[in-house]
Amino acid sequence: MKSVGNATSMRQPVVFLRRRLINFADRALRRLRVFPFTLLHAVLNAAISVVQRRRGHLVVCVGRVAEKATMFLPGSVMLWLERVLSGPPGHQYYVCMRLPREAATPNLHEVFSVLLAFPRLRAVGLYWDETSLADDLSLMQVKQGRDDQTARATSYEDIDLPDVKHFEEFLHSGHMGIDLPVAAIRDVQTLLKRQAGRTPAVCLNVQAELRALADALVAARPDVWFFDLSSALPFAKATNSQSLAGYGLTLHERMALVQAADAYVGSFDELGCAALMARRPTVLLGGGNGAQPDRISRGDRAVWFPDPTEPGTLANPALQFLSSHLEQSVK
Amino acid sequence: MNDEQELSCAAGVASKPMIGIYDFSYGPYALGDALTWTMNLNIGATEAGCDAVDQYLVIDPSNPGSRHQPFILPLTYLGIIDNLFPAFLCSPLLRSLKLFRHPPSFNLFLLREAMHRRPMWPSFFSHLNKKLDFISHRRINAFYRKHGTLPWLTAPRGYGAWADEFRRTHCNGRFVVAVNIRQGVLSLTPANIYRDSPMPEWQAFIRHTAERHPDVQFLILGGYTEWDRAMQNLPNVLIPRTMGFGIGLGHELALLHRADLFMGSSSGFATMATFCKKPYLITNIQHLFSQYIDVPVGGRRYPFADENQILYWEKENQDVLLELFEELHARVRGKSNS
Repeated sequence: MKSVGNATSMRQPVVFLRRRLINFADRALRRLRVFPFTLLHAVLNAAISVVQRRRGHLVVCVGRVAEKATMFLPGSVMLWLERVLSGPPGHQYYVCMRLPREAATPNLHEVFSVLLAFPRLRAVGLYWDETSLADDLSLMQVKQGRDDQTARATSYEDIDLPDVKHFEEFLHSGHMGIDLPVAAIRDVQTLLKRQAGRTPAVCLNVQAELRALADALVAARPDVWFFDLSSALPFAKATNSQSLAGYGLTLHERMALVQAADAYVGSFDELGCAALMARRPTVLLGGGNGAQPDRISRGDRAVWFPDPTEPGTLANPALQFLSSHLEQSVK
Repeated sequence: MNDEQELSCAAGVASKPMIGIYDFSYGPYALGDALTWTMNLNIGATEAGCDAVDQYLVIDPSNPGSRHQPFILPLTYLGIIDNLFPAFLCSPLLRSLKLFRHPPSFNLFLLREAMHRRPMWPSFFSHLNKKLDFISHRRINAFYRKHGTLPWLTAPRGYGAWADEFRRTHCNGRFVVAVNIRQGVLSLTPANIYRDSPMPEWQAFIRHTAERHPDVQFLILGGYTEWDRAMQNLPNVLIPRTMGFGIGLGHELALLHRADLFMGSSSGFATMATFCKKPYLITNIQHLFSQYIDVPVGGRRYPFADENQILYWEKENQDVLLELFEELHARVRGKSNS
């Protein structure tokens, strides 16, 4: 044991010097912006990249998107990333998504927005072809170091319609957090200040069949300002509810809004995920398969109704949940 | 792309990809430049006999913009690249699109592509010297002179069916005109505002058109901050970005691709119209641009354009807009009826 300790302590200055030398070379070459120094810089960087891969600090994750999942892709990708980006803090990720070539994906921009929001992603690849993906994987899957037990193999997963297990995992997970553009955060903070002022603000995002629930909440709490992010139009107009459907908000702006508001009531989609990640008081609706309990809680911060069939019976528990949290936020 | 190429891509047996590199340390964050780059990529692929395109976008988050765009900062680049992303989906040969937020990692891929001697745009050597011709039509014109056609851009991957459905649902068989009126002064990152178009002239033109051509539906494209509120009250106008959540640049480019006619200022959307074989009227073209496109100032057409693709070099007014619109409308409508 003693000799191992000595060897380790002798290696430390060597490692330190080597790192200093590499950093110096990197900085010097970066400043010399002409050929052949630019080529040398590229080669040095590629070599560093290979070493990082061998040490397992760069993890490759591959998700294969099923054609039927494309409608709900932003939410599914968010659930997937939360599952796969769970390595130690120093690890960085290369995420590859294999997309169906012929499928309509008019939400691809929103998928990209979701990917951008995860700061641990060093690179993202969207592939519409198997050959191209295989080609890149063969480059990234270098043999990993024998002496590093933290090294991780490439993970593969099918990205299908999210199932109950995925929702439950997300509900109870630690949540690493997302980084949204500062402009999006600034704009929604301004919106909140101007529209809600000191009044508690709640984001609504319900499916058309649960529209009655949203209307009941709005009617029961005239002291709360509701931002309506639902595509479905409200049944009744209310003075304390504001539909944002025509506001041209990007996904980042909507995510920033649910993260900044005082509570969220709505679908377990990308917005529901964003609210949970920001630890906002959250009422999540839908996603169950009939086999779950009526409600599943995560501490006192979030409650999930997996199978919300009857808006009338949901209104009371949702109102109770909101009341307890909104009164806390006012205090 | 011919049927054989389509089949080989779909089956995953594409053997010879063209590599596109868009490194934001020297390439601008701009819709028009991104689309011109894609067009050059298509041309490079066709000339080299490639049946697929692999695109690499490279950003250094600590220093995300070039010296020409000093307003791109580590704190702001995320929103700007997010807004621009759909512009990189317009190549019909697109096989993969990769975004690297860590340039050193990209270099491993770069060397792999260079060792495989894959054709690149810009070339390997140009990339190492951070040189990209992102503005001129030099290669595009040369290709057209040689082949008499161009490998046109298409609607962003995955968005075409949505645009078809939009037309069916909202346009009721009317003649659809996609419009973009450059209002850089109202954009989130104002730049080159002398290229902006006069909004009141466009409003007056659209109002006249409602009376004279009730069969025409205008779609106003562009950033939410850029169009005038009065547009919403015009009976023959739809503004897609106000029509629901999640409608953005990808949808707008697809709508432009599926429209009957494009009208607008010389800007990013006009570049899309230029390169997707759409009848168009492009106004207020910067005279400096003449040397890059090989068209003299005042020239009515690009070398690769047809009679329904008109360039107007001066600042437009409502009379000019109406006159040129009626000329195009009559011809394009007549053509589709026949």
